[in-house]
Amino acid sequence: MLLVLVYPGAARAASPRLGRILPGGIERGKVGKLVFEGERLTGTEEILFYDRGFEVLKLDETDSSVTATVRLADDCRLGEHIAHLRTKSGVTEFRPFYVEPLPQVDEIEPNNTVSTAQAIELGVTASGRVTAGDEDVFALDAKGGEQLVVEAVAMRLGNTVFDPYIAILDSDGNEIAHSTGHPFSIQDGIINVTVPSDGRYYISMREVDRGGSDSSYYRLHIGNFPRPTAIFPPGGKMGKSLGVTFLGDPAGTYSQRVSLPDRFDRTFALSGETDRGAAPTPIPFRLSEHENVLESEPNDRIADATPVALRDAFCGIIQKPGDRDCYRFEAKAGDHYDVEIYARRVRSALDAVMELYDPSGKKILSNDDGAKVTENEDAEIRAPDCHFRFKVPADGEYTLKVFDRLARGGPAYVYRVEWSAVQPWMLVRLPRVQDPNDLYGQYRQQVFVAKGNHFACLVRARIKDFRGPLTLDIPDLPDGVTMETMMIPAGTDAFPVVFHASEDAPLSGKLLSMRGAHADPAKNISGGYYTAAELLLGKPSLARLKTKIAHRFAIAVTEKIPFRLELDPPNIPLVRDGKIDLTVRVIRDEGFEEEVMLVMPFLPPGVYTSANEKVPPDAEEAIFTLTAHPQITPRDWKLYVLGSAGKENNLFWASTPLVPLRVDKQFVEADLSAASGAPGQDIPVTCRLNGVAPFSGQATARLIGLPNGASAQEIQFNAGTEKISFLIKTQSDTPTGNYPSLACEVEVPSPNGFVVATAGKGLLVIDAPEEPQDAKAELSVASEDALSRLEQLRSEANERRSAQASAQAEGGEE
Amino acid sequence: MIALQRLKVATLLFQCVAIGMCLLSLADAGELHIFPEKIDLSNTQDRQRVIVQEVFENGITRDVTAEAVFESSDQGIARCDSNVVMPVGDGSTELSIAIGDERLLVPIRVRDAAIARPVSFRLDVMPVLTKGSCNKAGCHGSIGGQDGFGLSLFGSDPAMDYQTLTRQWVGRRVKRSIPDESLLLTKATGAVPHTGGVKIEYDSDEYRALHRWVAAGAQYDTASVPKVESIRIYPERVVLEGRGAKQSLSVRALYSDGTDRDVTSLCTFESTNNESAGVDAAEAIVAQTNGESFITARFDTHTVGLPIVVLAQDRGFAWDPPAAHNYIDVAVHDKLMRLRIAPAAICDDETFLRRVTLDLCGRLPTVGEYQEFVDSTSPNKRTERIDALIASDAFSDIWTMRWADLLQLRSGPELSKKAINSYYNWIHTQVANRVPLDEMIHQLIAANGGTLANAPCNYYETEEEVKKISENMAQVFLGMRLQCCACHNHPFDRWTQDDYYSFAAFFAQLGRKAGEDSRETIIFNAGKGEMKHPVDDRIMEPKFLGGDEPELGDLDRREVLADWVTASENPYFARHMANLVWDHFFHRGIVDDPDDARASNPPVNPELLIALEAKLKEYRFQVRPLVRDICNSRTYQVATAPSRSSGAGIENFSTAKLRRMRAAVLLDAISQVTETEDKFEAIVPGTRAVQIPDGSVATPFLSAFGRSSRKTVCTCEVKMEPNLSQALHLLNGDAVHKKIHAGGLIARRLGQEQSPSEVIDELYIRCFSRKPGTEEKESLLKVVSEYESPQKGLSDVFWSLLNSKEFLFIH
Repeated sequence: MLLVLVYPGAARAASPRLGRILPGGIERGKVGKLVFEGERLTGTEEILFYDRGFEVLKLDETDSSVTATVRLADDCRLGEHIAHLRTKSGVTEFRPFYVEPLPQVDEIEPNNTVSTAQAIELGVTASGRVTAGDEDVFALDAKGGEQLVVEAVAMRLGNTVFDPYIAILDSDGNEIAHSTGHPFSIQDGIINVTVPSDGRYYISMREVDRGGSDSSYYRLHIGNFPRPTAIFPPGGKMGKSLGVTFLGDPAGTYSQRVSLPDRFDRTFALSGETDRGAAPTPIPFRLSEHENVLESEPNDRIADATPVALRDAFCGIIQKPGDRDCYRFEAKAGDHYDVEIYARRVRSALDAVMELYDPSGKKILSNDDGAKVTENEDAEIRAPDCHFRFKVPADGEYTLKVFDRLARGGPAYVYRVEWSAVQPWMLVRLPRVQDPNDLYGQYRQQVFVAKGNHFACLVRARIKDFRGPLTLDIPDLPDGVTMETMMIPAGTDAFPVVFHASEDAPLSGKLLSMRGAHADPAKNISGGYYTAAELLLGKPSLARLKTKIAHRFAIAVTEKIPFRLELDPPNIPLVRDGKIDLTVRVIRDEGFEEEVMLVMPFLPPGVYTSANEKVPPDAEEAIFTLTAHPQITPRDWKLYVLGSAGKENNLFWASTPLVPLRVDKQFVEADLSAASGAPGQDIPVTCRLNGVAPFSGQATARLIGLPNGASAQEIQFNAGTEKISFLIKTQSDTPTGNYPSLACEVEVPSPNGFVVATAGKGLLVIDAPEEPQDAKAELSVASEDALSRLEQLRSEANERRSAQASAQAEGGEE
Repeated sequence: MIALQRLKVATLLFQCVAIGMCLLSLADAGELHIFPEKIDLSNTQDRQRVIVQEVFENGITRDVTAEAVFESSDQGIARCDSNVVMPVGDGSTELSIAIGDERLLVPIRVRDAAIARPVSFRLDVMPVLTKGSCNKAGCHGSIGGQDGFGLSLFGSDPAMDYQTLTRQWVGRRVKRSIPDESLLLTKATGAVPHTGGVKIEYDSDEYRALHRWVAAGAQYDTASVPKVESIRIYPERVVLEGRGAKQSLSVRALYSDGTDRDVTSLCTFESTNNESAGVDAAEAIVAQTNGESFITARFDTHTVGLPIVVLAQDRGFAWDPPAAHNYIDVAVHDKLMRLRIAPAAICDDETFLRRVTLDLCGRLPTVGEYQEFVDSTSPNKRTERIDALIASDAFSDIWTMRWADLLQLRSGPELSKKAINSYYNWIHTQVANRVPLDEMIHQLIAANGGTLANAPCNYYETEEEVKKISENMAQVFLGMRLQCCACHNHPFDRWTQDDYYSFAAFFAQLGRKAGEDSRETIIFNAGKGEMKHPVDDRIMEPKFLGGDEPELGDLDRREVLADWVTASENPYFARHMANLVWDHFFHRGIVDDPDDARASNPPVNPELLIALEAKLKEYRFQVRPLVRDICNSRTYQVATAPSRSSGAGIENFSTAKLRRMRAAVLLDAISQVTETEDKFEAIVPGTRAVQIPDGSVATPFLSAFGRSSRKTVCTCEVKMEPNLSQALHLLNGDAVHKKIHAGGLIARRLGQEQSPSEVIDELYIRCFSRKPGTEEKESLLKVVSEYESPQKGLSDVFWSLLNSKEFLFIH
């Protein structure tokens, strides 16, 4: 309690966590409520949305939930959004929610049967939850001939593994249609029926196996809105205006003219709005630099291939089962392409396979599924879309064939193939830090810098098709916040990044992008930030059921925390096979008496240290001893130490500023002669010195790795010394054996202190001494009374034999 | 085959049936059958043994070879040593067989009489190694060999065996200069110590065969050495009467060059029932106790079988033909008549009602059903009851459970709960919608698509390895176990390693990839991929088991296979399906185990199986009509008490078998009579044990009573053996005691002012589908009256009933 009074910042929530955003959807153009459920949410300051169109009017908080009253703009983008919640002490992970076109109706239990069905109007979004074994039934009156469309958003909410089963029942309660999923929405069902006659109909929602849980929330869009499931062509050139056709709508195909944004937008989607309204969830629409070229049937065979040029995107539809689309194009020898198909990514039903044929008609490449995440700057989930790379072997006319993996087809089997010259690219990420309570969560992928303090993180780069030094920039930092990092050399992929918030920095938060780049601007290689958050995992195989990629990260300036860290910049280099001690000081505010845990997440390649150091409440500092690999590359680095205090799950963090570290070659190398001897002896070891770098003054050499009871004097030497000799003094009880860890450690003076390193390694062998003959005899006499029965018998027999022998000898003489 | 009618016996079988009684051993002389029907000798070493069998009108057979006098009509062409015919000179003549005052003639043809067939490794050496059991799994045929000497199992790879004998330890195993000192011979005769003991006698035929081969230079065969194409065993039917009766055997091998050979002495004989009949050292069947046995002869990689019936000496058995309800009874009774077994009497209505309700629906009759059935005076009330039960939902539950067991519906790392549930629901829909078996199984084998979107695709998720998929396919849908052939030719069946890998090749192009929902796998035709033979890396073209190599082109191999498996002409499918259905009602297949059809495990009543198979086809693979036939048969409705005449060791569906309820049925039955409900982990409340979709969901009770864990496709996964754990579950466990209290039935009935006597009546009907006997009731009422309260006393009565064997078993 005392702590609370003295250090409100420390005792209050430091690591807020967000579990879910309820009810999972909110109506566009209206004022509505979003409830953020999580932990340690007191002190909420704001909600960080990734898109415009949200105005937070009010925040009501408890420790575990925050209710936000939000006004949505009329043009707020429909579909899935994500948001973080920022408190005075931190910022949460993001969670998804939907912006929807229809007004919401909350379910009212009991509504489990047709007889207790909840009456609703057409054109609403029913919002509810399917608890264990629950079934929610809604009743509405519909006119014969009218389209009745139902779309579920349940698994897509990303709350829990929830496979919905939706059904439309007639007035007698008999099921007339049901759905457990759709290629467009995967596990979430879509149903449309033409209402057979005027009357009462029921919409039922349950878990497919009659399960459910307290987290199984759903949005059930019910109405006669358009519900196309594909657009053709499924993409277009940025900045263009073009006509597109909406396919799969129960009322029939329809066309619209759309103006495409002139900048790339990976969330761009079309909801096909008509006088019947908008589709509840829009259809993703691909934007690129390519002009469209449309397939021309028949093109099933190579001979009938549609002629195209590689600068254009090939757009087609696998119209019917067994359909194959071929495209013929000229390609130049040596050109190198990435070939991507956009099918499932634009929610087409097509599970595409691409095959490439050379001018002679021979198949040279084929691909079914590319890697899970695209390998380009616009990191996105590729789903089962195909991708291959193709280096053109010779000039000629090649053919690309597209078909469905299961030889299916239909009007919604649209696709778009884009050819792009292979280009080097890079991405930067805040790597996931494993939280034992949430293995695949977004733990510590947010940055929170306390006022007047430092916070550090590691940023990793993924590069492809190039090698070189990299730089990192994080523009547009919040007021009062600065950032420091370093250029990292080719072959490494981690940036040490330290943020600093000034004492007077205002509490604030932002979604920021960061940009990595080749250090040489002339190379023109750079890439932005992405994180792929696993929002849903299906046990037991931990299969990923919902992954969401975000391209910005959240940063927050938080209230002060009661400690700071200082790290003295080392003023001597860390040399090969050498070591160096770094002292970290914990500056505690008065009254703050908690342990601080220190870690060094960033270490240059070839530098090692302990995993962590603890600074108990009564201590002020800890030492990290860094050691270097014998072949480490000399280079300048920057380092930081990150510290945390508080309780598990509720830690607050501070780091040291970045401090420079020079990694260098050794001053001296030593070549040790092999040494051996017996316990008790003095054993000489010769050590040849080989100067690598000049130094002035007296250096000290000593032997390390000696056995117990053995010692050798230190030897002073200077830069010109070529040979030194140690004498290892052993004791009679020094254990025998081989000592391969014998080494020569040197301490070389430098302007700012002594540089310690292992200069060379040797081998010491200590053997048992030969036992002198008389010593054996002594031993046998001394231990006669301790002889075993067998030894006694042998001894007696020996005596008898020698007695006989001597008797014979005597007799002989006779 | 030559048959001679020696004495006309007027009484024909159908007439026997017509007059209602027939003394089966009236006949005192029968037809003579001679094996082989012609003799073809083709080199100096060739021999042919001749067998004469007398077949009596009543089906009894007698070996009369020893009574016959054999003589060659032309001693310049062939000569006889007793019943063995040997070549002398080329040409044709006849073998004259005199028996009593009858004389029969068998044509003899001799070719190359002066030419000695060159000694052959495959024809002379390999048969000796196999006959001597040298290449058995327990001896040198084991994977690591034995004492440093390894042979291919059952001689499946002669080329490898030749290398091992002649090249692995040059100069020792085979010593061409001094053949008698070859280890091959000294070990086999025990002249030097041999772990396996003496396998052949010095200077025996076998010894001479090996010696001759070594002396001739121990060469491998040239390509022209013919292969064994098939073997045949004679006689074809043996019914022995009385202990000690014998029947000599003759086995002939037919070779690829058209020649044949008497290989009787080179065969390995085995009996499925040595208690009844075995084969002695002189290759003759010897009758022991009455019963049935099946003798198999194995030569080269071929196995043939011969059914044997041993009957006790006739003690005046009179066949009183029972009224056949349908074709099933005709086939069963025909066999029983031949076996001299009278079928048991028909069971009473109460027994029938309980049995048929448990078998068809996996539950006990309700009190209402019981009352209605016993009160009914309808002459067709059994048939009506059967029809009502078959039409009920519970019937679908039972058959869904059976298929779920066989198709291994069990969640795990590969199969999510969602997938299992959708697979289960799919099967249930097929069964409930009366989708014919051929159609349902075709969908499974040819399945393509996502395992969540298209449930039959889960068939390929329960097992991923191509070889195991094909093994499972053969076992579940064709009733044969091919597993042995993965490593060697099947020792007890016709299947070879080539057959195995050619069959597995149908699955070589099965494609699999992760779906967009990561719990889903997409099954597709990859259109590429081959199955290679493990011995020589040959690419194996898909070939139907015992059938053709189909023209495939671009077709999906599994689609082609599905067509073949489920075709009406498929020789195994319909028969196996009929047998599976039969097995459900008798807890014993006509081929038993029902998924282990092989040459050495023949059907106990082939005519019955053929009749059921034909009906299943006639019903277009609908299960319900076949089930209806089975349940309406007299055979299904007989009592458990055997008739006086039944011989030990022979059942042949003459009596009903006492069968313990399956684990899930038992648990449901206890819950049903106690009016309680079971809760299973992650299963919708209200689900009965027989409806659990997932084999990985288990309770200690279900495990103890042997519910299939669905880890394999074997029908043997369901365990019916009693064990201590079961007894403890019933006596001390929660299953019975807690349920009696939780259900509160006794308290409810007493609350409804029913007397203990009435309650006891109801408990008996609930548990046993019968009313208590007068004595039973009196003693129970006395016991109950001694309790402090009737409720406690009646609860204990209830507990006793549930712990009785009468409750546990289907009668």
